[in-house]
Amino acid sequence: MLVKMLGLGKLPKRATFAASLSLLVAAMPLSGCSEKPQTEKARVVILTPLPFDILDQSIAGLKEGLAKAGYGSANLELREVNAGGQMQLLSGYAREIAASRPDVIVSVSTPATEAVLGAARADQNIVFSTVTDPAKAKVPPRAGNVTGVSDVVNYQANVDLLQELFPQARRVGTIYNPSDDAAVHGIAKVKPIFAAKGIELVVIAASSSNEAVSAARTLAGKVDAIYVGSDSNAAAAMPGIVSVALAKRTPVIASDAGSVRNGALAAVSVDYKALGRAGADLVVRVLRSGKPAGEIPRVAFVGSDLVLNAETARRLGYAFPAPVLTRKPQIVRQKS
Amino acid sequence: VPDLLINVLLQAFSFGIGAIGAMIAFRIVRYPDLTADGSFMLGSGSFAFALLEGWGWGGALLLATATGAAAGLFTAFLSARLGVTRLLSGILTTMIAYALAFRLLGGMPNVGLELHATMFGVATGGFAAGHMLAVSALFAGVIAIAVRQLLRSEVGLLLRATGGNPALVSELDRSPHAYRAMGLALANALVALSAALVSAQQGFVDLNLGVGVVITLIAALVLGEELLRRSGARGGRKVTGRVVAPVAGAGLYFLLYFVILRASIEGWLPLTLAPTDLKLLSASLVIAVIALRSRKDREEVFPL
Repeated sequence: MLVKMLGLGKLPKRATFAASLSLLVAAMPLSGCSEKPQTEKARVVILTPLPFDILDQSIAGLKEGLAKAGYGSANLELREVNAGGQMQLLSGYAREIAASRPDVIVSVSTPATEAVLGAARADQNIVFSTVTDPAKAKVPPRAGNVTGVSDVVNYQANVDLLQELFPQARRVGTIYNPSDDAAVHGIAKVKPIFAAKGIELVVIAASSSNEAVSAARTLAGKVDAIYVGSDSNAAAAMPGIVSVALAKRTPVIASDAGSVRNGALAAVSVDYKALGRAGADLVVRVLRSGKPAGEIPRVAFVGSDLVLNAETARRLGYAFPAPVLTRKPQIVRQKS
Repeated sequence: VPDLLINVLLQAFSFGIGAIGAMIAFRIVRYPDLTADGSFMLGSGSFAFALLEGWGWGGALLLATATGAAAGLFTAFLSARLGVTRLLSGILTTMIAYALAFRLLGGMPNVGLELHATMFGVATGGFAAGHMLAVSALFAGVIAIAVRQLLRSEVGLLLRATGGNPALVSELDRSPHAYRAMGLALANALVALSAALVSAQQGFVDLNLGVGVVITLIAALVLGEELLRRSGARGGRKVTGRVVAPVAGAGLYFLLYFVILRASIEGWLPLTLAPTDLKLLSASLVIAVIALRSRKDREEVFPL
């Protein structure tokens, strides 16, 4: 078939299979070699394991940051490699990237960082981004060639906000996905914070968006508020969660701006685009200083953006307290 | 280029072991076994579990192989005892395997492994990957020879008869069900072993590991068979050819895969690859190879 399309139909049958394969292999490097520019562009390759909202946002921020620092197509060759969820090949991807010898490898997410750390030579610069817990990702604490940005959801600020908005809250429900790294990490962090405030936390596990909505249905009306921490599954199901919660007049407090845009009442959010820009700063410093990446201090990016949804407040018949409004929140008006 | 070849061979040897497993399921006992995604995940999950529990890499490999074999047995049990259709049996086992793997990983979706605690020993820092390559080659070689010897033994003859002529097995007063179960156990044990090798190489185990492995292994298998057939090695239908084909096919598969990937990283491709484009490759390769075969051969390649 392929052979016919290439107009090679008259080759003897036995040869066609081999021919089509060798064509495929040969065509790739040849087609480009002649075009490869010989300029002194900086080369940066990004590895990310799968298309996913917050990773994509952080990559968008990274690109923005690089552009702002004056890196455009004229002086930067930027490649984005996405493994499309093929986790078992992530190291293979990382090895190909390392072998192409870019000036900086940017690994976005925990698994990508683990794969790149295993594949890169000791003298290759690595900037990790959007890693929630660098120690758990076996990022060596002081490697000569590694720097990066970890994202720290500001759980304390989230729970403080919840209490500030609903001082009478005694029982709070939360939904988390037990097979999501960040969610597991988050639930462990948030439990003691609620406990310290004397608020009972009702935890329901949900690993699909359907389950998340049905968890919200279970909680709605039986708790004073629903809190959704760093859980990408529940965040994806936010419109559904909000609509079942609002039906029972239960407010939803989240930990990211996207969820508030999808109808949650309020959040103290990590801005992943801003986090990506912070990663870009590190990349730029590595490129400009010529120093090994390890000499550039790592950044722990703490969420601090207060985001409120005015439309949801209206539907709840809720008025934000004045002290909250004076903190210059970002106010969205979308319906869920 | 040498880096590319090392990467290709490394993947070829580690996934080649799994492809030998697929060969046993699809060609020897002729069972359309879709358990591989699950046994792969279960294999890497048990490997990580045992390693973190301090069993050492030998114990970890044993546990991985054993859980893989158990997955294969369970698939056989579903089909033989409960009458679940063959295709569904593997899919069901996969679902269960993912649930178990999550437990094995202690409820964590991603677990980092200490590279120096694995069979790759001191070969950290990736492209001192010569060491990793040697270890993987050794594993693949030993497995290939062991499977070849097994298939040539009396048990192996009965396994082959189970796929080709189960009535004969019954006439010999042996149970084709038992031999089919044995074949599936062996097949998935090899898939799990290959998963353990891959995990050790990557330095981490992730709950999303294993998705789509079954199609990778089938692609490697049919590519390898076609390669041997075209090179005049009698279609790899002799036992040695049967064992060599999956590994050779895995090599060819990953050569294509990484050449395309590398081309896109280096900017040699006129278009930008979407993240899922390389998945297309596996599926189109399988379809292309099957389409290229003559009608008569196609019947022969049941159950693909």
